[in-house]
Amino acid sequence: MNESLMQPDEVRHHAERANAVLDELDRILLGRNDLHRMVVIGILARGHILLEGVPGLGKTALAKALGDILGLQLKRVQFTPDLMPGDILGTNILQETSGGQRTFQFQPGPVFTNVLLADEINRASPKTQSALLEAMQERAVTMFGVTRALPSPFFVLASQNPIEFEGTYPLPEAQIDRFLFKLQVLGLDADVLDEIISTRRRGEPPEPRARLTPADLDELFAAVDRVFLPRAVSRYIARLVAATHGNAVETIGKYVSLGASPRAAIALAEAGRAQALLSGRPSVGFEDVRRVAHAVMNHRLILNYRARLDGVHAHQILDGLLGSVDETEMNLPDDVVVRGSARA
Amino acid sequence: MRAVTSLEKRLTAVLYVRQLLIWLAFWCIALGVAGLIARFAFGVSAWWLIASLPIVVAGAALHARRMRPSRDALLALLDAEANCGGLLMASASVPMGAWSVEDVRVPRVHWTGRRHVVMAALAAVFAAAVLLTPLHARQTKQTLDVRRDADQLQKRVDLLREEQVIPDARAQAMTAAIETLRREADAEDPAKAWETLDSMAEATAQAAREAGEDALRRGEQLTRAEAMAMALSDSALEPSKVAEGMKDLAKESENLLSDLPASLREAIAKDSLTQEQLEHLAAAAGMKKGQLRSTLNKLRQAGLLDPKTLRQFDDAANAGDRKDLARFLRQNANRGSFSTQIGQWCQGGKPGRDRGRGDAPMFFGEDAEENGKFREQTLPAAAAATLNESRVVAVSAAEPEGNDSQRSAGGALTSVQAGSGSAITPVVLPRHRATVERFFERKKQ
Repeated sequence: MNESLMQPDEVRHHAERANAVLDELDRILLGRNDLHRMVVIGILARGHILLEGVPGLGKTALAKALGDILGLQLKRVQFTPDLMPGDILGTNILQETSGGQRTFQFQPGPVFTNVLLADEINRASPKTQSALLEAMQERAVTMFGVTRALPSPFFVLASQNPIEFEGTYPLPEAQIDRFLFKLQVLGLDADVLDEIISTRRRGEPPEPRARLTPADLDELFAAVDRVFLPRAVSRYIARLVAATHGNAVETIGKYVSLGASPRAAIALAEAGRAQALLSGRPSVGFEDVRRVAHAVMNHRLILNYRARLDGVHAHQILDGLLGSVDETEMNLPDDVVVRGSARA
Repeated sequence: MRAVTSLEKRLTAVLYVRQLLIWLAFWCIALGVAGLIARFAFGVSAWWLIASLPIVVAGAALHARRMRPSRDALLALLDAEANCGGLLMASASVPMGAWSVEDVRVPRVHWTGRRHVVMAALAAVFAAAVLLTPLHARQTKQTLDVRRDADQLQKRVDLLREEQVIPDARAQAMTAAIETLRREADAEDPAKAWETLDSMAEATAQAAREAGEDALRRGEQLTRAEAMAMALSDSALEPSKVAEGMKDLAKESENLLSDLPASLREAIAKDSLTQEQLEHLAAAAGMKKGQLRSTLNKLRQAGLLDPKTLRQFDDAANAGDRKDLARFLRQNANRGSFSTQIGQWCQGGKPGRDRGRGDAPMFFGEDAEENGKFREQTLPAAAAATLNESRVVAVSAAEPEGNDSQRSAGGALTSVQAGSGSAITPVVLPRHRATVERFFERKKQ
């Protein structure tokens, strides 16, 4: 529990730093302001991010730019069907010492980095995908009985093609639940494309400038931790997640076979904190939760066959959920309405 | 915080009014029902029930207080309304430091309470109607409408009095009872009124039945007197038995004495009636029977007498044919006294299809002609068919009855030629011919 709110100067300082990262991302990659904001929120909340979109939309460029801006080490793994877990985590190799002895020595894989860009993660087999489970949750790797901690901070920025694509393996629920956000990378409109063509030679983005040091990032993480989460907001988060189970909301009862996990509630709280800090506030409001709700929960709702038949997507269900759960918990009779308290 | 306090007050006020209307509505309904029971079952005033009103007011206040949202919820609402981003909520939990929340506007509280107002108003009208209805309205006696039954009963009493079936005093008593019943028939105890009506109706019916039985008895007596007078007038008795016959006639004519002329009464008393006086006596007996018949007919039409009694009277009042009577007396001259023979004659056995009672002597009247034959008559088809399967069990002296309207006008075999063997004469319409031909062609194949 926070002893006191962060003071305005502190909040302003941290918010400016975070927004500097955001501005730099917006400068490098055009036309994706909302996506960049959610990515920064995800980083501030120390969560892993899954970017979904067809090839060629700038997912990889975004991850690389982010690594450069944050001043973190970035490694990229191109996931393919023949990729093995050892190719990611590392393996023991036989080496000869100067004394002529031969010993196994651990050769760290690309996962030992600050930012792991798992490109086209759903092209690898489920076995290889699952190799990241411990790394993403525990931020450590255990091989041959030895657990090795990963560098701090550690993020996975994964990109995946839509699962309808040929040659893809859907991520297991256990792993997809470990991603804080799943963000849709959509196409750009004509104006943005025109700006890219006219301002960038061969479409190459400008060189990213490092805006933060790892120490700055740690400070930002600490600041996010100090953002106050009011009791009413935490209850709102809890009721939102609980409402994804059961039939209280009609569309959920009809289309959702498995609701969001407790991780979703934790993720909503953390992402809400990061969103509040990015907005320059020391406390989380309902609006912050609503803003991150889609990114946090859209991949955590397991839809049933009826949803596929009716062409219903998780975002539509989440719209219904956010519209039906009363954030203030007034519990007033239907005929008594405080203006604005009942959300349409 | 002032905004929270203000919103809390507004919300509490709205909830209180809402709950008060609901509680009042239920209270009014309960009050009305209790008032109905108290006033109309026990006849006591229900105004004292209004004393429970303070309980309703207090209950509504308590209920509204319980429904009131918590202060945290109100803070959350104000925070969301003012887009404070959680600062307002945080202000209630942690020190704000340099942060300050400007005074936020208090949102308006909307209540669509028309439904509750209407419900409470209707309930109040119901309760008021129950409480304000004058108590004496309940005490006003509700009379039972027995006018139609009383009128019918009165008509029967009047008829019985007119026909002298009941004496005037009894008729007046019954009329008075009917009038009392008209006035005092109580709707709250209709069984009593109906029982009284039934009792009086039974009394009139009983009087009518007794009158019918008396008329039947007198009719038989008159018939015997008429038959005796006819027999004596036709000299159907042997001279040696005339005196005895005169005595018997005098005895049977007692009922007629009051209606007969003095000279005739004296002649009867002296057992020396002339033929003219005997005819007069027979006519007087017949007239008296006609009067009785008229009375009985009126009683039957009024529903006081059953048709069977009337038929019995008609049978008893039939003195028969004079010639047959004379022949009967001659044939049975040596079988009992004159009075006994007349009694047997009147019991039945007169010529015709009616044989009278079982113990009546057989008498066939005129002998049938040797070459006589029954009149030809067409029987209905059903009766003709029955004849083929019948067997003779007796031969009736009377003519078989028939009715031309029952004659067979046609049947299933009417248009069937001999040898066709079927009652069905199907007609194939031209438009069906092809279908029929295809059907039979199919069978051949």
